[in-house]
Amino acid sequence: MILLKKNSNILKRKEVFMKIKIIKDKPFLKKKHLNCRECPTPCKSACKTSMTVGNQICERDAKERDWIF
Amino acid sequence: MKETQKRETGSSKPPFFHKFEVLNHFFLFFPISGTLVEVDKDDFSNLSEDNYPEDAFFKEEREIWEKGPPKFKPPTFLKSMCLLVSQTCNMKCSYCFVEGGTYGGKERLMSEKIAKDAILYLLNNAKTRNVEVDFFGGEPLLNWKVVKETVVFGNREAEKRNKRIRFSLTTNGVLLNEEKMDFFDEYKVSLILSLDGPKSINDMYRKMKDGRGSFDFVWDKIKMVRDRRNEGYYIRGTFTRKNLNIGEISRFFWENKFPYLSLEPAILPEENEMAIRKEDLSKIIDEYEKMAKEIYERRKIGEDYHFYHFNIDLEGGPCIGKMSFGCGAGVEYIAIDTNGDIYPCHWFSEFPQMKMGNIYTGIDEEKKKIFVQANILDNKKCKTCWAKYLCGGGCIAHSYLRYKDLFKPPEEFCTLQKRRIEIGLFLNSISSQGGLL
Repeated sequence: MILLKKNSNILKRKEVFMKIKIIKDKPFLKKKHLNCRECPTPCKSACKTSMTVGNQICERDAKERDWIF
Repeated sequence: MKETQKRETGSSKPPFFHKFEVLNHFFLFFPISGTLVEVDKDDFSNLSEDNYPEDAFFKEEREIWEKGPPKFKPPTFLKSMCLLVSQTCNMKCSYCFVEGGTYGGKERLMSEKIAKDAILYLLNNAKTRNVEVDFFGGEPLLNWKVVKETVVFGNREAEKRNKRIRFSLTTNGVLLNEEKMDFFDEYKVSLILSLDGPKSINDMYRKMKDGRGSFDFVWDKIKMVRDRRNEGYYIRGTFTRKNLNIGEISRFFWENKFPYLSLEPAILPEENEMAIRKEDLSKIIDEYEKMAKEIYERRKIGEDYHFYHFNIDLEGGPCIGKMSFGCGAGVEYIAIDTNGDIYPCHWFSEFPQMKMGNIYTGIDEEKKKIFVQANILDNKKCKTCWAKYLCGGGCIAHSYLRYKDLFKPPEEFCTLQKRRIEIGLFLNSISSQGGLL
C-alpha cells in the first residue's frame, strides 16, 4: 500500500493523503514478448461464443499446458 | 489535484483510467498499462480523468497513456480450426443456432479424408508452434471413428513438423462412455460439456429428438468426466431471457463440484422470444454479482471455483499484440464444414455468403482482408473503450447475426462484457494479492 499526497485540500490546514493499494503494476508492459500468438485462440475455449481475450493463458512465459483451457 | 487537458475529440485511445466498484471495493484500472489499484471509497468518488493526485504514480501512468500502446501488424496466418465433423445431432435444443446441427442443409458427417486433409491444411499454413483443433457439430461424437482417427493422425503429423497440436471437443454428453474418456485422456482432448443447469432448467430447452428432456440421459456421463479429471473440461451452459437466474444455476454446478463453468446468453435474432433484451441486462448483472460473491466466499475457505469470463489474469494472460486482434475469426481461426469448405468460424457456417474458400483450393484473400480489419484497433466502437484489450472486441458473428455488420458489437454484449471484466479484475486481485484495503 502507498500513500499519495493530495494537493487539493482547499482549507490548506494540513496535508491530505490518499491511500492506494497497487494490485498489479503495469502488467501489459512487463511481458517479455509483445506478439508471440502462441496462446490458444479465444473462441477455441470454453465459451464458444462471446469471447473474452483477457482470460487466455500465455504459454510463452509459463510452462506449456496439456489442455487448451 | 491537477487539472489536465481533456482528451481530444476523436482520440483513438481508451480513457486514462476506468473507475469501478465490486462488492464494496473500489478500483482504478489503467487500460494501456494494465495497472490495477484499489482506493478507498471517498477518494474513489472524487477521482476523475481531470482530477487526480499530482504524484509520481499518476505521472508515470499518464506518460504511458499519452505515449499510447505499441502498434502491431494484424496477424495473417492460420493457427486454429473448428472441424464440423457432424452436421447432425442426437438432440433438438430449442435455441439451437444451427438448426439441429445441420446448418440449414441436409444431415451429414465429415469423411475421414476431409478431416485429415483439413488437419494438413492447418499444419502446413500455421506459423506458430501451437495449433488447436476443436471438434464441433451438431454432435461430434456421432462421428466417433473420424474424431478418433483425426486425433491420432493430427498428433503424428504435428510431431513431424515440430508443432504441438491440441484438441478439444464440444459435446452434449449423450454418447460419452469410459472407452471414449480413456482415449480423450490419453490424447489430452479438452472437453466442453453442454448442460444448462439442474433438470428443471436444462430440460426447458435441451431436449432429445423425441421431445424428452435430456438431463437424465447425460447427468451421469457429465459426472463421470468430473470424477476422472481435475482439469481439461468446462461445463458450458446456455441461458435465455426465460431463465436469467444464472447465480442459482452456477451454485448448482459448484455444489456438485464442477469447478469450471461457462454460462452464455443464447445468441438469437432480436425478435426471438428467448433472446436477451436490454431490459434483462440489470437482472443478468445482478446475477453476475451474486456469482462473484459466491466465488469470493468460496475462495476464502479454500474452494477454487471458476466462471469462464471472470478468469482474467493480468500477469499470466496474453500479450498486448494478441489482445489487440481478438478472436481471429477468418484469419487465425477458421471452421471447416463436411465438404472441406472454409468459413470464418463455426457460427458463420450457416451463411453460404460467408464461405471463404475450400481446403483444396485455399482461402479467398480478398475475403480474408475483411476479417483482418475486425479488431479493436480499427473498430470505431471499440477504439475508446476502457475494456478493449481484455475484451478483444466481442464476437463478430454475433454482430453479423444481429446487424449484418461485422464491426458493430451489440450494446447488450458490451454492457455485460464490461461488468464481467470488472468482476474478473476484482477476483484476480483477491486471488493474487491476499487482503484488499
